[in-house]
Order: sequence, then C-alpha cells, then structure tokens
Amino acid sequence: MLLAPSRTKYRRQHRGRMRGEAIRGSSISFGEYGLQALEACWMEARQIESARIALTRFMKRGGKVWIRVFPDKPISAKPAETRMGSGKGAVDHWVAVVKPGRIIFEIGGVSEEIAKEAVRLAGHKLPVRTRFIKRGEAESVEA
Amino acid sequence: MAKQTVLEVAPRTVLGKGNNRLRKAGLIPANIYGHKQNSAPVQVDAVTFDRVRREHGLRNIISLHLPDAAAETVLVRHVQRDPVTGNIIHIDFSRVDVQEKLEVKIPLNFVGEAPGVKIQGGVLLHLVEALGVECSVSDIVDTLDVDISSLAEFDDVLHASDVKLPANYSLLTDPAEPIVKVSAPRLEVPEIVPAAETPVAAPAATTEEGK
Repeated sequence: MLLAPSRTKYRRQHRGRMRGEAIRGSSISFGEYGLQALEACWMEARQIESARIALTRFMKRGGKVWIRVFPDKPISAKPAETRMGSGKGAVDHWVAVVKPGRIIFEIGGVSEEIAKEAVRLAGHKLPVRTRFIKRGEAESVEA
Repeated sequence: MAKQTVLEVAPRTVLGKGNNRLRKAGLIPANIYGHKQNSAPVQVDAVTFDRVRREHGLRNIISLHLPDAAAETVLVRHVQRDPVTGNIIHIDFSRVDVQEKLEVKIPLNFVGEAPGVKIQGGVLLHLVEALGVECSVSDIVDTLDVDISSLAEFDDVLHASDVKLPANYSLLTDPAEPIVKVSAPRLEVPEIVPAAETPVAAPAATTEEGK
C-alpha cells in the first residue's frame, strides 16, 4: 500500500525549497547496508513503493528492510481540461522531500552481494542518482 | 592497550566559513579542547590523518606535535564527515591524561555464528552499535567482542549486561538495553493483500481536513 499520512492538520502546503544537504537521516541506523540519495527531489509515494517492491522481490525471503523516508508533503493538481482560477486543486499525491545524502532504505540480514544488487535494482525506480552504502562507511564517528 | 601515535598539526588562523578554503587545499580543520584549557584551533593534513586512521584506528592515544609548543596527548572525540562525499570535514581532539578515567563509546564486534540465523534462517538485528563505558585512557580497546553463538531461537536477545568487559571497565549504557536480536525472517510479501485494503484506507488519508 502506498505510504500516506493518516490525517493532516492542513490539507495543502506551499512548495518550499530544497536547499542544502541532508543532515538528519544521512547515516545508517538500523540495518547493515543502505541506499543513499545523491540528489534532491520530491520522491513520490509510488516511487518509494516501487523501489521497496524491487528490493524485497530480489531479496526473496530473509533480510529486513527499513524505509527511512515518509511522503508527508501533499501535492495538489487541477483536473485535466479545467480553466485556470477557482482556487488551488485537490491533493493529487504525496511526496517526501529528499536532499542529497539522505538514506532512503536500509537492509539487514542479507549478504553484501545480495544487498548490492537489490539496491541497484531499487535505485532504478527512483528519480535521483543513488549509491550503495555500508554501515560505518563515510559516517560521522563519535567516541 | 592503546598505542600512542604521533600526528603533526599546525595552528589554524582561519575560522568559520573560511575553513572551506582549507578543505579545498587538502587540510582538515580541527580543535583541541579539554582539561579546562582554552580550545585551540588547528589544521591537519587530510592524507596524513587518513593514513593514521587506517593504520592505528580512531581510539588510540595521539601525540599531537604543534610547532613551537609542547606535544599534547589527545584522543579523537568526533570525526565529522560530509554526508554526500564522505570526506572528513572536522575533527575534535580531546586532551587526556594517560592514567585518567573517562567515558567513551566503544563499537561492538559480533563474533561467532548465531544458530537462530544459521539453522532457523532468522535475521540478526544489530540494535546498538557502540557501548558507553568508563575506563582509563591507557585501557581503551578498539572494539568489544560480543559472542552471539547463544542466540538459538527467534526473538533471542543479548543485552548490554551480557557483554564481557575487560577489567577496570564499568558499563555506562543501561545494562537492560538490548544490543542484538534474532528476528524471524520476512515472509514472502503477498501482493494481493494491499490491493484489497486500498479502497478503505485511501480516502481516509485525504478526507481529514484542518480548518
């Protein structure tokens, strides 16, 4: 099922800006491997779901997948062949605002080869360049 | 036992956003602090620091050599990296005494094979990466080994108290905190189930309205 908020305080949002890099959610917290976005985008719920299916299908049984983004931004659209005006359109779909460095998925409990291939397949479903990342690699370390 | 490594650093006059110029020139901005002395901004050669990090790890005592100043005995407290490139952006060095006791986070190294994973086909979940301990500086180890061969069934858990700590170590993390767990494997995702739920759940997502 597509990810979407169960209820929201306000129905529509402004577009906003996507400046800078991801600070939160840029390191692996749950699994051993991850899929990291290298560009900024509005990631639609359908794209997240499609990538998740690609991941889980390749991993078959076994392993565990964590989705680290949630599409909580409503995107409105006007119906086709409608004249301009008459206010903002209805909510059409939901997106997650993704900035470079954001971990989209995490995987645990599978070998590195399987994780790499699953991440490669899932990355093709997403609208940005992505990379495979391992826990502890290129992460800030605190002692 | 922690070994002492020598690292050459230079005093840093550039502060704030000017540090980006240093990074482009192959230098890493760093700070030395602790022992109730003033914080000292320094810069380290990125290649040299990377070599020291790969050869000696990040938990060894480092002797920082500053020109025209006495050597400082320090520990690396924080290494900040760029989330996209992975390049080191900043390093925190903390002044230490070799005999002093201090609080550190030591990463866990899981050894052995869990029967719950090998035989039952479960998934090993690492719930905690590092344990907070108190120990003397000279006793700091690179990793703490955790034997996971006792995890035979699904939902078997090892807690922080199950980790065998070296002598003179005291645990700071909550002893009841779970650190590793065997979880049941994910079942094949039935593709039909979500389709049946869609008509009921989809309107609920958009019907709720604010003001």
